[in-house]
Amino acid sequence: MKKMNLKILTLALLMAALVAGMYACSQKKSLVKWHPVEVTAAPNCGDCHKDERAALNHTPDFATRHKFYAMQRKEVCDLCHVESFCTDCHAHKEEIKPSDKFKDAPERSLPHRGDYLTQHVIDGRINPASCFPCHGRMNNERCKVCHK
Amino acid sequence: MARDLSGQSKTYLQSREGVDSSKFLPFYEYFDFKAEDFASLASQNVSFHFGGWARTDLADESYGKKTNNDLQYAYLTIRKSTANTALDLGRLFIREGVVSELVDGAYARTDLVRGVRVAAFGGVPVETNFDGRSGDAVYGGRISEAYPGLYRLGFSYLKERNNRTDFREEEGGDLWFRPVNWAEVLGTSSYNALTRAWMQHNYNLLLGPFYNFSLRTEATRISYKDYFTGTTTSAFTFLPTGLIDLNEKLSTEGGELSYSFGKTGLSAEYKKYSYDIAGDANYYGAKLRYSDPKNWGTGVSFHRMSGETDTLKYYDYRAYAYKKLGKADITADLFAVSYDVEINGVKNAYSASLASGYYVIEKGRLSADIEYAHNPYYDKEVRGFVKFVYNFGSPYGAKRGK
Repeated sequence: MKKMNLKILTLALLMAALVAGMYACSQKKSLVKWHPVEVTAAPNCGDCHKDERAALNHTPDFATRHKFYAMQRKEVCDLCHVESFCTDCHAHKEEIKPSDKFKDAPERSLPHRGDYLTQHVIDGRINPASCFPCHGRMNNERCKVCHK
Repeated sequence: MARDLSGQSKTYLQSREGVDSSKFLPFYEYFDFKAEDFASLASQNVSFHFGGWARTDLADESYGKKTNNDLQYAYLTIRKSTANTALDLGRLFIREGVVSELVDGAYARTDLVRGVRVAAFGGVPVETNFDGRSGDAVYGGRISEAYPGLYRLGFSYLKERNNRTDFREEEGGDLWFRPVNWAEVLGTSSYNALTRAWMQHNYNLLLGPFYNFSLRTEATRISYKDYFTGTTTSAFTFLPTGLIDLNEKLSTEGGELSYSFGKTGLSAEYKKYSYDIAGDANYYGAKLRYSDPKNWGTGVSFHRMSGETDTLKYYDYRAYAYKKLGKADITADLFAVSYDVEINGVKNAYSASLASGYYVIEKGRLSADIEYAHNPYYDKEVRGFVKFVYNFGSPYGAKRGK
């Protein structure tokens, strides 16, 4: 058992030394804090960027796949969005959101348009996994009104 | 003093009715701000971020409390000018691979050489309370490697303990791959280390545009028994004999083919749901839209859900239009669902809303909307909503992402 612990400790120290060495060699400038040009709603990034950044075009269905970009490099999102933009939907104990999001931009795909209280009964049967990331452990106080 | 202080105040008044004819008139205030450059530690920049809300009921009591409030986030960020090195301390939202958590704790990340990036976090989870927070902890991290413009591949890990016992242990991979400008793969797989089985696979392939055509396809696989673990609500506590079987496994495959010409877009969608236990369902339809964001836009859509159970047999329709008039805008939105089999005696449900907003001052927008609905649970339901949004501080910072 002691030999095993010693091996794990040695491995951890080697990993830490490797990370420290790689960090010391990495002196590339950080991303700018803000996008240098103010971007208006639903930007078409490909208008200016011809490289991989064009993938971030905010097409009407962008909301359905934004999670993939955010899970890899959220600091890129932070170039244009403040934190409250995320918490409008990714909430803790919110009571009325996110039904208020983008009411003046109906062309954008969002999960809770219209009378969603009725539709959620059906959507929950179709694919409850689509509800779970936001309501499984947080933002579910309201669920308890019916789901005792 | 902060050199850049910006934020937003959102004041809401909502009017609605309960199923027992109670009248609700909740009044909300949402407030957030960001203070930047208020201190510098050598080459490191320090900023503070805050968001929270409070509610009071002006009529009948809603959600079992006359008043309520919550701290959404409050954290200090120390950020280096090199290697995207940053440390956050406080209540913060972490998004790293399969990790998507609100935590009271610390979160550090940095780039290393050759496209390698590491992130680590730890603290107490911020979840809906069900048994107190004593003995609760969450920690994890992610390591990723990227070749700029071609791919990014990450591996992430999370462990959560509740009352000093293991509550969740999840591992996963995430992928972004763009070999050419017209093809992109996005995806993630997550593994439940406690049940020793895959929770979910979710992959997207995006192709195009080719001559104004583009195609988005998606494939997912979810094991309910392994995915719906560590929940804090009974809504996701499935039983082997319940309406949703705990042992269910769902696969979906689908796609959307879009064609755009100028400001007009036309798309056709199809999604197949294959349940190991409940049978199959198909969802398909089409959308047509015209969008000139600075002037006006309109759209219509139609879909059919065709499943093996009665609740999964319906048509849904939507039509919307908006118009911008200088400082004002107006939006109308109509949804309708026609069930093959009546639910609570209702075959056709619909909701119609009319919303309007006006910039009363440069940084302040007043808006209001009214919604009328008829559905299986309400003969008629009328909801009203009034909102005033005020941006303050740096005009550039305050507008961001709103």
